[in-house]
Amino acid sequence: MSVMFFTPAELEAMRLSLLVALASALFTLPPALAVGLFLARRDFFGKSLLDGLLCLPLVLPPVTTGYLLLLCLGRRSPVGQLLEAWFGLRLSFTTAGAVLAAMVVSFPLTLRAVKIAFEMVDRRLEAAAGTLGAAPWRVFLSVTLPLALPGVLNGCLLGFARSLGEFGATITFAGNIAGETRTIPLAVYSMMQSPGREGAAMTLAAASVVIALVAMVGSEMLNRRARRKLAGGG
Amino acid sequence: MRKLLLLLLAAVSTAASADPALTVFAAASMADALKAVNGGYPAAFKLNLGSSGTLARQMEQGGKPDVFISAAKDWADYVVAKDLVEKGSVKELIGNALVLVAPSDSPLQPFALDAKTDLPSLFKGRLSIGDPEHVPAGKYGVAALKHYGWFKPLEKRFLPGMSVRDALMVVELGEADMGIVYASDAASSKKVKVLAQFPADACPPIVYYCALGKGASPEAAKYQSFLLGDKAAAVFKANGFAPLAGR
Repeated sequence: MSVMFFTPAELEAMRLSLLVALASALFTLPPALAVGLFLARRDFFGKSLLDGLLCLPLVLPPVTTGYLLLLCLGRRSPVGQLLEAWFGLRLSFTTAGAVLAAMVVSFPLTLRAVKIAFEMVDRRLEAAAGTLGAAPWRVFLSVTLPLALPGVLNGCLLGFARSLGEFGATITFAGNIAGETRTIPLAVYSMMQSPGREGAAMTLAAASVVIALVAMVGSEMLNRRARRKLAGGG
Repeated sequence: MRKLLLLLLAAVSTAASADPALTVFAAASMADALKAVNGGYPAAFKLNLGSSGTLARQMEQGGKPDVFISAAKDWADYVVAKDLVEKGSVKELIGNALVLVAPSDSPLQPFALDAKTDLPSLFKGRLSIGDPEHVPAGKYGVAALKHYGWFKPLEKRFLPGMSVRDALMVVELGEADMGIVYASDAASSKKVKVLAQFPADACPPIVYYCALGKGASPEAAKYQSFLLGDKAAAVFKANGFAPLAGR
């Protein structure tokens, strides 16, 4: 019944927003975990430069990020041509492109949270697990990751939130195509441009407030569970 | 620290206060032509370029231009209805035409466009067009496509841009094989070629309107009559715009 309250175009925008934000948060996590662990544990020459490069999308205007993506991965770029020739895959102006734009923009946020979480893990516990005969991957899965889990979850939430609100890089790299890349922010923008569509814009604005709240509360619950587990099981 | 704060505050507040430059809100398709025209007028300008719909919205939310140039009658009517411009100051400025463009290295060749053309099967992929929801070029484009019965088969292939210049950029980058823009946009870009021009009877007449913002200075009125004069018209024409019928 609540579904009847929305028009098909609004439902489509909500579906796309959720899809893009969830996919972005999910796909960003593995590289963020790998790079975060690497940055937290290793010291090497040029570390701050690498750190800065990885966090560039946080500081760059999103439209600039989108334009750079278009130049690097667009249909005319070498990479874009290879992708299309080998896999028949196009990123620019597709849903996949919207996910990629969201990933690039949200990666620094997820990475920072994950990195700090790994830095906070007590390394003596890892050493203890090692002396008890656990292999390195086992140490990571049963000691490091559980201890860092609240921070990792927090990073996921940040990435999800940033992806949900992504506008500039998306509209530049993925366009504003209804049913493919028109997420809630783009739909609200489009509606604000047309006279008499303020009502629809308001509906979608309200929907994004609800989605954001659900995500925040949900992650807080997950966070508490992770902490309880740490306190109880440790 | 306190000095720095005061300095910042001063910088921000002077930017917002009155200054002698003329503020012009103009349809995105006017970008190059207007800069050329303004070069022949002794004043400083602040240009705000965007789709006519975006600009009208900005005016509604408190944006105060001296002169507003709209690429469509409906947005000119809109600002009149909302009392955002001086009464009776809305004037027809210049005309334009719609063209089909392709990237300049595209294998597509210029063709004669008429009712027998099968446009949807002439190209693959998406058609770049200003978002028909609010970009005048997109609305004219939809009208022209409907005129030939191509709207239904092509609607799903639209790649809507935030302004007609965005639609042009997408074709320049080769992201779309074809696009609908103004003749003046096509003339401004070396990276696209014109495949065909829509006949004038395919869509409503494309006319730009200029109006004086509410409470605009006398200087703004002087500038508006310069825009409407022969000298400016010649520059507009040199930039690919079409003179108005009856002038």
